[in-house]
Amino acid sequence: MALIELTKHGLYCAQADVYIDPWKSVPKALITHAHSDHARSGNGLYIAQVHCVPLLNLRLGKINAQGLKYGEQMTINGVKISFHPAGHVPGSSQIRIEYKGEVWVVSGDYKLEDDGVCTPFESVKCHSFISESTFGLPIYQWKDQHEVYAEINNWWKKNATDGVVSVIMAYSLGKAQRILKHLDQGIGKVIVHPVVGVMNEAVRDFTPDLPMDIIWNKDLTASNYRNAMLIVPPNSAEAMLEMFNPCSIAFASGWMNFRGGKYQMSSERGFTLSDHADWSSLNKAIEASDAEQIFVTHGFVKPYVKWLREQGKNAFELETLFSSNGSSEE
Amino acid sequence: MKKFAGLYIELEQESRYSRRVDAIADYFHAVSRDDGAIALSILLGFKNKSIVKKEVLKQLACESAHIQSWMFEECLTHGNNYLDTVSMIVPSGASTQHFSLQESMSWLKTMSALHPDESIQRILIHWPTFSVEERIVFNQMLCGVFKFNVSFDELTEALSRCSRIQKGVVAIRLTQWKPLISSMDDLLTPIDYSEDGAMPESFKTRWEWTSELEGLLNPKNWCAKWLPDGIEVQFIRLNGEVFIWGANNKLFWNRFPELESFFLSVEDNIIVCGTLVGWSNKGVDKVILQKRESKKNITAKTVTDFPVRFIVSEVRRRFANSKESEIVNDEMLNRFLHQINNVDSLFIWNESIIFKSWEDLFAMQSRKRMRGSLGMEIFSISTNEIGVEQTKSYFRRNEPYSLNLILLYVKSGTYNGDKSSEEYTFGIRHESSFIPITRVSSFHNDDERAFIREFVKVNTLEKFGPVRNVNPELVFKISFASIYLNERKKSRVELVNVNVVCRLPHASINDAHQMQDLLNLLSKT
Ligand SMILES: [Zn+2]
Ligand SMILES: [Zn+2]
Repeated sequence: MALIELTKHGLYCAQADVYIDPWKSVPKALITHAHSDHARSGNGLYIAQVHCVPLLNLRLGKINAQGLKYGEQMTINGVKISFHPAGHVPGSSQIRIEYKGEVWVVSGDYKLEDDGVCTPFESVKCHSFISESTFGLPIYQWKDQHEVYAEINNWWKKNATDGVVSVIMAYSLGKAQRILKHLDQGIGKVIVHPVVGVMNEAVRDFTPDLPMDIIWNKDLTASNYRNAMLIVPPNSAEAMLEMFNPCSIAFASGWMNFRGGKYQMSSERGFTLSDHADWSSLNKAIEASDAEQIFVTHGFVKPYVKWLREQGKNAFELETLFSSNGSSEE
Repeated sequence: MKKFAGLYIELEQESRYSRRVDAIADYFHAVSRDDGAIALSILLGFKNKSIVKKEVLKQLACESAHIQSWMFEECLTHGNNYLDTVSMIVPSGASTQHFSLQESMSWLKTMSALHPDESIQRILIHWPTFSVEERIVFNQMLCGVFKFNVSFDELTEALSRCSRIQKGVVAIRLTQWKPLISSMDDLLTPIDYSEDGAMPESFKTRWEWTSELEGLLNPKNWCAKWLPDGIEVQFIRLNGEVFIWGANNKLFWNRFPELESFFLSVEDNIIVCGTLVGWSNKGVDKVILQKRESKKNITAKTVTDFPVRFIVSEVRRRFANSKESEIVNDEMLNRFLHQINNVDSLFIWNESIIFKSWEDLFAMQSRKRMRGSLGMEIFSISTNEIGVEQTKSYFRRNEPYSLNLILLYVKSGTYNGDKSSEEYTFGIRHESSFIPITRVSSFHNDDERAFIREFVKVNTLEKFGPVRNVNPELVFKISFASIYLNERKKSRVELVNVNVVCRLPHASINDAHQMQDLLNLLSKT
C-alpha cells in the first residue's frame, strides 16, 4: 500500500492515520494553508504551520489546532511529518511525510517567486511528489512581478489625478497582502475591506513590515479619499464601492486574457498576478524534487500528466476536490 | 517596442474614449519621434506584408516550448486566438531586452528579403528577448495581419493633446501624412500648406424655444427647417480635396466615399452644411447610420448595405485664403442644386418652410418622428441675405422625458485647459443627500458655460484633481431619450441621449426631482 492514498475524505496517510487538506470531517488533519478549498471546518484536530494557525482561527472560528515551525518534525506512529515553505500565501506549506526512509511531499498550492510577504518556497527532495497544476498549461508564464506592481501603481496614479478612486479586487489571504506590500503609498491612502483588514492584522502579527492600511467603515468621509486605493474581496463590497463612486475597478489574477476589454468579473482592468506556479515553475519544482513518481492534482491534471509522461516522467492523475477553476481562491 | 505593445494591449481592453485617447497621447509623449512616426504609420492602417504563415510560427513555437500539437490544441481551448496562443507558449527568456519600434520594423524589413530558413533562425533569436505582449504584436506583424484598433478621431484627439496643436489642424495634416515616408516633424511643426481654408465653420448654436418667444417674435419674419436626426456635418472642397467635418473638429476621413467623390466635382472653396442620415425604405433610419458608424473599414459593400443621404441645408463660399465665408447667392445655389439633383438620390435639399402662425409650426412639428427629425429650427428671413450672418436660430424639440436635476460636480479639461472638455455631473435628491445620475460633457450654450464657470469659482466645496464638488444649488432641466436599469451605477439607472435643456434660474433645490420620481419614471418605461 502506498504511504499516501486518495480516499473519499481526501489524501490519507494510513500509517499515521492523518488526512491532508481533507474535504470531509476527519479526526486529524494536516493543513497546507488557510484557503477555503484546503482548510474546511469540522475536523477534530488541525495540524499546520504555526503562522497558519491564527489564520485558520480567523476563517474557521474556534478549532483545536497545533502549530509546527517550518522544518520542525513531529512523529506519529513512526511517520515523520514536517512543514516546509510553499511560498503561496502567508503560513502556506508543503507537507513532507517520511516513513521507513520513503519520502512523500504534498505541495498544497505553491509558487516559486519570492513575493516579499510570505516565506519563499523551498524545494524538498522526495520519492513521490503530489503537485498542484492550477496553471499547468504552457500559455501561463508570469512576467516579472515588479513590472506588474509598476502597472498597478501607474494605474492608481492616473486614477488619483482624475479624482477617481481605484479599487482592486483581491483574495483576502495572500493577494491582498502582496498588493498592499507593493503599493506606492506616496500616491494616496490604502483603504481595505474589513474582511481584508482583519486578515492583514493577523498576518502583520508575524510579518511586521507589512504596511499599514485604513479599515473601511461606513462613517469614513469618502470625499477625503478621492485618491485612495481600495483593496476588496471579489464581489462582496457593494456598500463600500457605492460610497466611493466614481471608481475604477481592477482584478488581479493569473487568468490571462489580452483581448475583449474585460477580464473576468466586472472589472475594467486586469493585472496578471498569481500566487500559483506558472508552467515553467511547475516544471522546475518537479525537476528539483528529484521525485520518482509525480501525482498531479488541482488544475489541468490530464494534459499536464500527459505532457510529463511525454517527457519520460512517471506521472499520474489524482482527481481531488480542490477547486480548479478561476473562481477558487488563488 | 515594449511601450508600443503595451499601448496595443491597453487599447484592446479599454473601451472608454477618454482613457483610450489618454493612452495614445501618453504613448506619443513617451517615445522618440522616429518611433512615433512608425507607430503613427501603423495606427493609420499601414500593414507590412506577410513574412511567414501562422502555421509555421505555431510549429516553431511548439518546438521551442517542447510541446506536441495536441498540447497546442489544448491551449487553444482556453480563450485566446491562434496567434496569441502561439505568442503565449513561446518560453520567455531570462530577461527581456528593450528594442525600439524602429529596430523591430527594420528586422521585419530585412527578414522579408531573406531565405525562409534564415528568417526562421532570426525569429528564434528574437522571440525570447520579447515580453509576451511584444510577441503578440511581433507575430501578427510577421504574418502581415497586425492592425491597431483605433479610430481616426481618437488618434487626432490624442495627437492634438500631446502636440498642443488644434485638433482640426492635426486632422488635416494627418490626411496629408504619408505612412513610412513622412516624419513627426511634418505633422507637428508648421508647414507651408495653410490649413485655414480647410477648417470648418463654427457649427450653428441653437437656442431652445421657450414660450416667451412666442409673444416676442412675429412669425412673419421667420421661416423653418426640419432638423434631421443624424450627424451634422460640413463638406469643404479645397485644392482638389474634400474634408468632411463633424462638430468638435471631428474629421470623417475615408468614411463616406460616395459623398467625397461627388464633392470632388464641386468648385473649390465651397462649404456645404447639412446632416448625414442613415437611409432605408422607411426614409431616415438612425439604426442604419449607427451601423455604418460602427464599421471600422468602409468597403463598397458597407456603402451599399448601410446607405446614407446628405440633407443639405446651406451652401457657403469661402473667401480665398481666409477663414471667412458667406452664404452663396441664388444663382450659385441654383447651380449647386442642379448639380446635386443629377446625382442619384444621394442628396436631399432641406427646404425652408413658411408658416403663418406658431400654432401652424407646432402642428407641423408634431409629425417630426415621421420625418425622422429631431424637431424644427426657425431662422430669421430678413437676416438670411447674402453677406449677413444669421444671428440666431431657435430650435424646438420635445424629448420624451425630462427631469430637473442638480449640478454636483464640474470637471475641467485635463489637457492644455481645453474649455470644451468640461464635464458636468448632475444628481438627484435622495433624502438629505445627492446621488449622481448623469454626466454631460458640454453645453450648447457658451453663455451658460461662462455662468457656470463663475459659479464654480465661488461655490467649490472640494477639489480633487480636475473635479470640483460644488454647492448643490443650480437646477437644470435635463432631457433624455430613454432610461435603463444599470446595477453598476450608484443610482442604478442610466440615462441615454442626455441633453441639458436649460438652467432653471428661479428654481431652488426643493423644485428638483427626487429619487422616487426617477424610480416612478423607470417603472413606467
Ligand atoms: Zn488551492
Ligand atoms: Zn491556495
